[in-house]
Amino acid sequence: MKRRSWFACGLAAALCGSLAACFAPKAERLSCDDVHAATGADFRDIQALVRDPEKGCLDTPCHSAETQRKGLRLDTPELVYDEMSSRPDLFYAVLSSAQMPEEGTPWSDEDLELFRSWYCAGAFPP
Amino acid sequence: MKRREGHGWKAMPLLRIAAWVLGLVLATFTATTAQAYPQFVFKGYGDCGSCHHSPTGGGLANRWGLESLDVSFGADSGPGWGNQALTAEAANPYQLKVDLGLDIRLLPIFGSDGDGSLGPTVIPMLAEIGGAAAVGPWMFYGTITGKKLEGTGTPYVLASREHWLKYQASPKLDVRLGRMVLPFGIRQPDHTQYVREDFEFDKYDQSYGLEVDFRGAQWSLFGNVFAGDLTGRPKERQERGAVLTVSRQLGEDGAAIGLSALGSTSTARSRFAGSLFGRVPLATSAYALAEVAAQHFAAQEGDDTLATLAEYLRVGWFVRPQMDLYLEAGNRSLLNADGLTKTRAGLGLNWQVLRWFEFAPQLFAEARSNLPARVVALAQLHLIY
Repeated sequence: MKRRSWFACGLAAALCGSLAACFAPKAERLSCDDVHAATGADFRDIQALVRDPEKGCLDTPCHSAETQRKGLRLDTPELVYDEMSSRPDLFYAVLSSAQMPEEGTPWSDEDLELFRSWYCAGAFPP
Repeated sequence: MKRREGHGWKAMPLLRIAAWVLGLVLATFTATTAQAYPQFVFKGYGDCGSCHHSPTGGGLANRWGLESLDVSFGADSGPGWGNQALTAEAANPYQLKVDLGLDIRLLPIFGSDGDGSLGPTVIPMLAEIGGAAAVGPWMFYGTITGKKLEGTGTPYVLASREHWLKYQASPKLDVRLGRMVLPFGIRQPDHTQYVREDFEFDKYDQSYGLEVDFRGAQWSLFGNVFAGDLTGRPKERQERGAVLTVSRQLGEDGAAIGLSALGSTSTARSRFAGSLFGRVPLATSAYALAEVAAQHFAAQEGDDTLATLAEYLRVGWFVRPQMDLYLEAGNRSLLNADGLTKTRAGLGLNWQVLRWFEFAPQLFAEARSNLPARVVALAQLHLIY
């Protein structure tokens, strides 16, 4: 009986937590809505954005070989692909919410559409 | 294409090394966790399903698994487990039995980013509660995890990494339906198994599927037909397919060889993957695990492809029954992505300090294409109930 009580308490806590999660702020999620045709997305476009002096990640400067802020460097095409293909949700979230770049111009809707298009076409390397 | 030349370890400033530690931690967030330790088989623990509710290992430990730790540390030490066996009793086969569990993983790090703004911190890797309820041959298993949504401003939401219903047709044969970890290759603790991380079997990469788990004396077979995670990725990236893992015991000393094959498709791409793996005892308390795996992606539209080749080797020694000291090395190559490679080698320890507490420090070096090597130090604290 005691164990059933524990189970009931756990279940109640889970339900309360689930309800709380329903009312939590909606996260910016990586979706495949409003994207280019599959063959129209190329990772070179995203690499160009990463290297852009205003919108990019290197010149602001945060993620160059010298700074590597938060342990992240994006100064070679290989690294950009390796990082973005392994953690696309994180990159999209911080870019679409304009948390990144910290200094510089946020990515535009068209830029974000490029990112979504590349991811939704399979996230292939250039 | 401008590339930096490698400089070697000695040229790396300490702060740079510390910053890489954080980088690895970020990567660790996406790594598969709570996996079975196949090396435990050498200690006479049978197979993964001996100690876990899941027949393929990982997730919460069952009573037998927890009490195995009791044997190491004595029945009088630590808190009582409070769990009960879920095996049906002949006298009352349809009595409801419930087992609750807890799995918490913390990762202390001491580091700094490039401008020195990061102080010592502790990263919560996983906090998961779960339970299993059984009636006769039926069992339901489910977990609830606080999932951090990176970069969204929402600190945590609740998610269930696994929830499945199992029917035990016989002591050797189970059928499961629900969300679960797919059976592919060697499963290891998070951030120490490179192949699974590189092959997209990460922390939240479980799938809904129907699985048959057969665990015989000589042969094991795990087959799963899956339909993606349904709720996580966009539907265009939901992979649907099948995976099969077959392993064969070689003798009575725990040696085994296995093969996994996976085929899947999504709106965006198709995938074929395979893994050949094995384990062998080297001495009374030493062992080796090895794996070679490959996968190939092809775009559904256009001619884009991506091929990955990965190798993994681990040699371990149980210095004490509860202390596994190991050396491991791994390599991953993206064959048609400009030869992008990642090679790691390290030294680690899985130390069951108390029956409810595991300490798992690891020090390793990692080299990526055309980049200086980085040295990473971690110390995972694992609380189990």
